[in-house]
Amino acid sequence: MPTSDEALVPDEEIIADVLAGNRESFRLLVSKYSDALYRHALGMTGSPDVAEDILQVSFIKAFQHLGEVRGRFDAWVFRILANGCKDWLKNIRRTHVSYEEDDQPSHYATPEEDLDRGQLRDDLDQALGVLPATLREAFVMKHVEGRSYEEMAELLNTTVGALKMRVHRAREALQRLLGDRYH
Amino acid sequence: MLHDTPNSRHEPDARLDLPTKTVAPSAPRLADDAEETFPGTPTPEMIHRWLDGEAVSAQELATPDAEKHVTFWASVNAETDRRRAMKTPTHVAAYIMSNLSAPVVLDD
Repeated sequence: MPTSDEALVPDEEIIADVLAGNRESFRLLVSKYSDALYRHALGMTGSPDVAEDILQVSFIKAFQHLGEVRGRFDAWVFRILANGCKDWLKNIRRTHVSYEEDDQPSHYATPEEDLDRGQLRDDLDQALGVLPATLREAFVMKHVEGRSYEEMAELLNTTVGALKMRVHRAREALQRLLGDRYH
Repeated sequence: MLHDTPNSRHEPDARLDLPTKTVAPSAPRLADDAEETFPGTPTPEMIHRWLDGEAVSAQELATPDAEKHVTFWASVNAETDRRRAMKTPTHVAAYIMSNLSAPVVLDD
């Protein structure tokens, strides 16, 4: 975590310092933004190891291209990481590509079992893994990262209305996948 | 205010060369189609409004139908709140800093 003084240093100044040869200053950018980016990667991949890999590669790539930043650094590095997450999701092997009601794993259909926080954690991960990347991304940004729709729209370069629709669809799907068990 | 777009010339190619670790979901994946609708009982609109932080009266949330949705989403929210407090593992920053190569500086 950056100290309170370090957190007040504008990103533009940090970037200028790094580009002037003070590589160590890049650590401030890593400290400022790694937690939020890590949570996004973890929410998107469901794997701490993969989330770490994507976070590391994203920051290293950001460093290599630091001279190309023209707008907000946090939004720029977010897009690098978000694209990395989507690429990873595209590349993992999928045994199914479509959703059928009967395809639901029996794991989700055990209404007699007690509500258990650890079980909910696992079930939520599995249910998020079933969602299309765009819905998963919207749900994670809204519910896990706690971002406003306006902030999401800015980061994803889309409209608030489109994002509300995605979040609502993600909720519907999650409730369908988990609801029998947790209602 | 953003000046870059996801495809702007200022953004590096976001294809990341990552190891092929997989955590393939055991559940079937929904088709990647944002227009897809889902079977089952729809979540009431006022529950969406409540989850979006909009004003919803206690009376609306106290109906028997609403209560089961509220209970469900309170459980999910407790889990997502926990995730929101997660921190990057401490070794990650050190790994990043030890693997930096020279930045590319563009001439204006």
